[in-house]
This record gives sequence, C-alpha cells and structure tokens, in this order.
Amino acid sequence: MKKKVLLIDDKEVFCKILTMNLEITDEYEVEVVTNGLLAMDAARKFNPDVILLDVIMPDISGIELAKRMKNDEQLKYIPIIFLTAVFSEELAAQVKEFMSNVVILGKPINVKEIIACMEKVLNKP
Amino acid sequence: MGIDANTLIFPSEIIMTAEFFSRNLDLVYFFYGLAFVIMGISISIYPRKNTGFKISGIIWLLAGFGIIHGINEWLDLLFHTSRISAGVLKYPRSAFLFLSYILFFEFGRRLINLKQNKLIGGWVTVSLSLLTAVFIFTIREGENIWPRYFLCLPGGLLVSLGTVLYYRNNRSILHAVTGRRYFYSFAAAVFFYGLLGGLISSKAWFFPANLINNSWFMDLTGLPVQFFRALCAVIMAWSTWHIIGIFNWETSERLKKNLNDINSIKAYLDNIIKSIPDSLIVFDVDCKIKMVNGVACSLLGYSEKELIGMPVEDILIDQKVDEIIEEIEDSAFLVSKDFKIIKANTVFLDKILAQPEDVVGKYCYSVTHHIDQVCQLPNDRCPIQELSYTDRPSVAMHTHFGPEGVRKLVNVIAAPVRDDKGNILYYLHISRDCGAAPNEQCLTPGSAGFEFLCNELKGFVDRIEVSVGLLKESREKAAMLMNLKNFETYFHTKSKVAVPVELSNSSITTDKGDLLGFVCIAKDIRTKKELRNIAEEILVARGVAMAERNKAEEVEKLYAELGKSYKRLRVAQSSLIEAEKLHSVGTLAAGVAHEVKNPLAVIFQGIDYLNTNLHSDNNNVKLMLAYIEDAARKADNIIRDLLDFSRLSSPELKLSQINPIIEKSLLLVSHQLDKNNVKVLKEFSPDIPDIVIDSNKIEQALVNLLLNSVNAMNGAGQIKIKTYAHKEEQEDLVLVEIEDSGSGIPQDLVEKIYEPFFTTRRDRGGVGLGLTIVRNIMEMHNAGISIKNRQEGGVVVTIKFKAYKKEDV
Repeated sequence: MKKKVLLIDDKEVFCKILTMNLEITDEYEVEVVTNGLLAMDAARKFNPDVILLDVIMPDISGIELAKRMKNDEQLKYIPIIFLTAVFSEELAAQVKEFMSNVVILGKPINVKEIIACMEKVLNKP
Repeated sequence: MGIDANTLIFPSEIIMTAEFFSRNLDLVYFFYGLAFVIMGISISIYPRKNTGFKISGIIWLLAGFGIIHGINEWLDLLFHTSRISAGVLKYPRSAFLFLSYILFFEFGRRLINLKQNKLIGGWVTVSLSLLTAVFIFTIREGENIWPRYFLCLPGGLLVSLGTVLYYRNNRSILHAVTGRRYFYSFAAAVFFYGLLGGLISSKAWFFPANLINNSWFMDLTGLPVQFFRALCAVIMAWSTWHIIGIFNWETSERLKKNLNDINSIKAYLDNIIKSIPDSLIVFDVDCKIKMVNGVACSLLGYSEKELIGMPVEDILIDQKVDEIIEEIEDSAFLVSKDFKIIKANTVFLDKILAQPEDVVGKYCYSVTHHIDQVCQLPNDRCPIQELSYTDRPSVAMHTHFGPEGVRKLVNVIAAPVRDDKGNILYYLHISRDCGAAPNEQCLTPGSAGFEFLCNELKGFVDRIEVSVGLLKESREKAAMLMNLKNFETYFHTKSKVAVPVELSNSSITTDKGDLLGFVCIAKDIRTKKELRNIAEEILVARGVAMAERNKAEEVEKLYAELGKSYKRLRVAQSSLIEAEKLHSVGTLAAGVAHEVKNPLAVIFQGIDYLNTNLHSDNNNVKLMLAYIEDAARKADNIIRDLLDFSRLSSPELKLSQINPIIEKSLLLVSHQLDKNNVKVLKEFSPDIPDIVIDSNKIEQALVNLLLNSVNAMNGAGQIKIKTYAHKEEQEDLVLVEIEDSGSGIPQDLVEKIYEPFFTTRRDRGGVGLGLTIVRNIMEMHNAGISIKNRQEGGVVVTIKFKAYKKEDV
C-alpha cells in the first residue's frame, strides 16, 4: 500500500518535481497543496501518513499551520516534516514549543534524503 | 680715796711734783674719766653690723666698762671739788665701781673664750661678783677694795692675755689692718691698769691693803696712783680707737668687693649687649634713648653720644595708616562703622581698575557687590556685621565684582580697629582670591590658612591702632609703640635713609611693677626683605615656568590622547563600517537564502529526476548533470556560509576548559585531516585556568582555523596546537597557539585576511567569511587573535583568552 504524502509548499515547480521524484518510486501517493490556507481541509480530506510542510509561505507560515494541525483532533497524530530554505536554531526552538518530535530538512535537498527521513518517521513505533 | 698729803714727808723736789698733782688731782680725775668715756662712746657709736670679727659681739662690755668707770671717775672729781658730804656720793660711787669691774672682768672672760668657748665659765664672774658683794657687806670697811681685788685685778690680767691671744689668733688679718702695736699697747695698758687698779687701793686694816695702798704707792713713786691709772686709761682709749678701725676696714673691704662684683656684672652685661647681633636700644620712661649698643649706632649712623637722650620719634619713622594698608599684600580697605570706604590699597584698586576717588566715601557693598544694602544674603554673609556679634575676626566667601562685571570668588576677612579706650573706629577689610595660588582654597575658620590670615590681620590692625594713636601725646604713642611685639617698621638714620627693621619690644619694670623704660631689639631686615623679594620673584618665575611646563605637558598629553582617540576612532570607524557591512550581509543573506535556496531545491530535485529517468548513452549528459549539481552545491555552500555568518547571535557564556573544546574541534575536522594526511601535534598544558566562553562558537572558530590550515597545506603537513597559562601586565591569560606548515599568507594580503568575502580559494568553494567569523567570535569573547607568518613557513595563530577570575562573575 502506497504511503500518502501531503506536500504543502507554495513553490509549484518544486512541488511538481518532488512529486514526480517520489511517485516514480511507486511507493508514495503525493497530494500537493500550494495554498497554505487550503492545507487544513486538504489534509482532513486526504488523511496523509506524513506531511511535508514548507515553513515560509506567503499566506500562512508552516509553523502556524503545524500548530493548527496539532490542535486538530483528526490531524494531530500525523507526523510533520518541515522543509525550509532558511534553517535556524530559532526555528527549531519555535517548533519544539508545541511538537515533541521535531524533524526539519533544509532545502535544497536530495530525494534520497527525503525518502530516508520519511521512512524513519513512518517506521517509528 | 682721799689723800692726806699733810701727814707725809717728801723730799723737797718730789714734794713739789706730788704737791702739784695732789693739789690738782681733780684734773687727773677728769682726764682719767674722759679717756674711758671716750673709749666707751667711740666703741658704742662705731658701726659694726655684719662684721666677720667675733670681738664685735663682746666689745660692748668694754664700752660699758669705759663709760661707767669714766662716770665713776667724774663722780670722784665731783667728790673732790665740791666737797659734798661723803654720805651722798658714797653709794653711787661704790655701785658704779663695782658694776664697771664686773663688766671689765666679764669682757676679759669672754675675750679668753673667743678662741676656745667655755674655757672659763660664766659662773666664775657670778661667783666673784657674789664673793665681792659678800665681803662688802660683811666687812664694813673697804667697800671699794674688794671689787678691785676680786674683779679688776683678774679682769686686767684676762683682758691683757685675751688681747694678745686674739691678736695672735687673727694675726694674718689684724696685722695688715692695724698692726701689732695697738694690740700690744692695749694689752700692756690693761695689764698695768689691772695691777694699779686691782692692787693699789686705799688703806685698810686688813692685808694687803694695810701694806700696799695709795700711801705706800705715793711714798714709793712720789705720784698718786690715779695718775698712772689715768695714763693707762689714755693708752687704752688710744689703742682702742685704732683697734676698732678694723670694723671700718672690714666695711671698706666689703664695699670694695661689692664694687668689684658690680663691675664684673656690668662687664658681663656689656659683653652680652655687645654680642647681640641686632640693634639694642633702651629707652627711659620718657621714651628717650638711655643706652645703645654698637650695632644700633652703626645702623642709625649716629655716635653713642648723639643717640643718648634722643627721643624715640627721631629714629622711628612714623608710619601713616596709608602706608600700613599699602603694605598688605591682599586687597584691603578701611571702612567706617557705616560701611563707607575710608582708605583702600593699590592691590584692591588695581583689582577693580579704579582710582582712590572712585571708591573713597562709597559704601563697600556697592563697590564690591554692586548692591545697595549691606550683605545679608546667606551666601554673602557680611563679616563686618558678624564681628559685632562674635567679636573675633570672621571669614566669609564672597562673590566680588571685578572690572567689567567679572565675578570672582574671594575669601573675606575683617577685624575692628579700636582706639585706646576700646571703641571701634574702623574696620579693616581684607579679601583674597579663592584659588589665587594653585593649592589655595577657600578658608574655613580654624584652618591653618585662616589662623595665618587672622594673625597677619591682627598685626596690621595693631599698627593701624598705633598710627591712629599718633595724634595723641608722643609719650603715650611711644609707650604704645613700645608695647607692640614683633612688627616691621623703618628706622630713620642720620643720613635720612629708611632702613626696614623688625622690632621686638619689651617694657622694663621693677619688681613692684613701676615702669622704668623700654628695651627694644631691632633686627635689620634689609637683606631679608631683599631675599624675600628675590624669593618671590623666583617663586613667580618658577610658577610661570611650572605653569608653562604644565601647559606644555598638558598639551603633549592632550595631543597623545588625541592621537590615541583618533586611532581608536579609526578602529571603531572601520569596525563600525565592517559591522554595518556584516549586518547588511546578514540581512541580505537571510533574504537571499530563501530566494536562492528554493530554486536550488528545484535544481537538485530536477537533477535527481533526470539522473533517475534520463537514460542516455551520451556520456556527456551525465557529465553535464554532474557539473550542474556541483555548481548548485557551490551556490548552496555560499548561501550556507552567509547564513552562518548572519546567525552570529550573542554568545551563551559558560565556565569551560579550553583543551576539551580543541579536542572536539579536531574531531569535527578529523575527516579532512585524515584525507589530507595532516598530522596533529598537541602540547596541552594540563593546568590552565578556566575561561568564560560559548563553547559552540569557539568550536566553530577553531574548526574554521583548522580547515584554513588544512587548505593552506595542499597535502601532507603538520599542525601543532599548544595551550598554556600566561601572565601579561598583571593579567592571567590562557593562550592557544595553532601552527601549521602551510604556505603562509602572502605579504600583500596580510591586511585583507579578515575582510569579509576575501578568499584565495574562490575557485575551490571558498566564500571568504571564515576568518571574519573567527574574529567576530573572538571579539564576542573579548579574546585577542593574531595571525602571523612563521619564519620557518606557515602561519601561527595565537588566541588570548582572559582567565576566569571570581570577581568577574
């Protein structure tokens, strides 16, 4: 059974290529949301196994979105992997405030690394 | 004692003489008595107080004997001439005779006792007197005979012997004074008088008077015994007269001695006066010169003769009040009781650039404070008003107006000038600039400066009082002058030159306090004054020189400071510029990172996709993809470095040891070290103090430095890391030295190594921020860093951390 990945990022080209790279493995089913404001609904509808969430988006920040998800009864158990082009300790600290298990990946990043990371998160007991 | 001449038969010539004396026996009696009375009186009246001669204590006995016996003889004379009945004169004559012989014997006894006391006790005199009295009253006849036998005869022998002994015992003095003959003649006369008076008595029925008596003596010598006795009396009187001259001699000797003493005291005093190096002038009560010493004569130019009797005002220049005020070195003026200025000195006038007529008659407060009422402000207390309450010199700090309204802070002190009755006439007001001299500050009552000023003020006030008193009688004035101690004035010399002198005066009084005159010591202070002037000039000159030197030093100091400041400013400026640059870089980096990294992410994803899906036989396709990935990677590295750089947040300081941090940094770069075959030599001192650092940031800096070294070596090499404690300028330091065997820094690039984005390895992915980051981290920790080329090649990096001190926390 394919693992459902919800990719939330406003950079459409990146989303497209990453989706292609993931789906080519035949292991993942990827749903993309480029508008952060639609992400909550999409997530509820799609009910992914893992969420790849960009931090810096024009409408709503990934941090804010993650907070909402963690407060959502349906979504709060779904693991989130943050993707960001601008990694910082401050960001990690911010995330740590409301999430116990923090996983942040810096862009640019290889598909292999993303897959390794997702596997790690998903296989966690 | 009657002589019955008619019963005797004499040879004719003897009868003639005898007759003459028998007929004129009254004449004998007269001279006989006169001799003794004169002897007695002359002894009595002779002054013999404070004499050293012991005889003076007993000679009154001889005087008493002489007078009483002389009177007795005159009674005999009276008896013979007047033919008064025997009964009337019988008892007084006997009593006088008895008494005189008691004194005579007693004199002899005591004379013997002079040499050796109590040789013959007083009881002998008493016993003999009693015995005589007993005989007189038991044997009714011969009442005048017994005193002769018992008292006169032994008395004569004693006195005679005593006189000789006395002379012999005191020969040394007596011989020089009177000569031997008077003593011996006296002794002989007394001896014979004792025999003649003691043995030759009137005729009586008992022995020896029945055989040895007047008649027998008359028969034997043809002359009455009274004649011989009188002769003895005259010799005794004559000798005594000369002997008592010893007292005279003694007095004169004493006077001579006193005179000598006085002369030696005078000589001593003269010597003292001569040895006084200053002028000494003694005035009598009328203030006329009574005595001067040579110094005074030469100073004044008069001879001693001219000076004696000269009145004081002829040599002492009267000083006018003006002159005294002028002498004050501070601003001074006299004000009346209603605060009007009467006189002001030049110092004061110069300070306010005024003429005397500008201030005299004006109110002091209007001149000094430019106000129209007496100072009452709390800051400007009026010292004159305060005087009326406290009655002692008072000091205050005032703001006085100088020329053109310039304000000056001054110390003000005032004292009253009184007349001889104690009424206040004026006030003397002195003001001194605060800080006129560098160390001088405003004075407070009780301080040394204040007391000094007070004393000076008092001296001037005293002299003004005297000067004011000059209007009075000259004698009073002089007395006032003379009672002034230690003041400076001028002597008026003969050649009309004023010589500055320092006078110390004192009045001369008797034990009872009566004024005898004044003694005045005048010190010539011409040299002193000159010296003082020179000293002042020197002081002024030195002050100026000092001020100039100080100024020069100050300028130099200021210049040096300015130089330093300039350098600091330059450094600050450059670091500010750099900081500004870095800040912009940081801000830029954060923005750029996001915008660049997302496209890079696309590129990476794209390459991934193509690598997976592009199956081409053309090898160049794979190569091309590798090039693209490499270029994207470089771009990514640059952005990462920029982000690191912009993320230099404030350090989290903790107490740490440096050695473990170095170890950790080495671990982080171990891959690069191994890959390039670089050996690491560690010389860690085990005993170094803790330092306060953010270990993550120091780690980052060390990694950067180590990577730099590795990159500089281009292959195999060696890195030596040394840590040790060090003391520099009293400060404990922890030093880290990293030496490498690399290529070193080209000389022309030394200054650029810290510059951001400067790199020699741009082509190999260098961004040029490594050392910039290192330096910024070190600055954060207040640690110093220096990077120098080694002589042997390669560079040495030295980092100086400040060792932790407890008080730093």
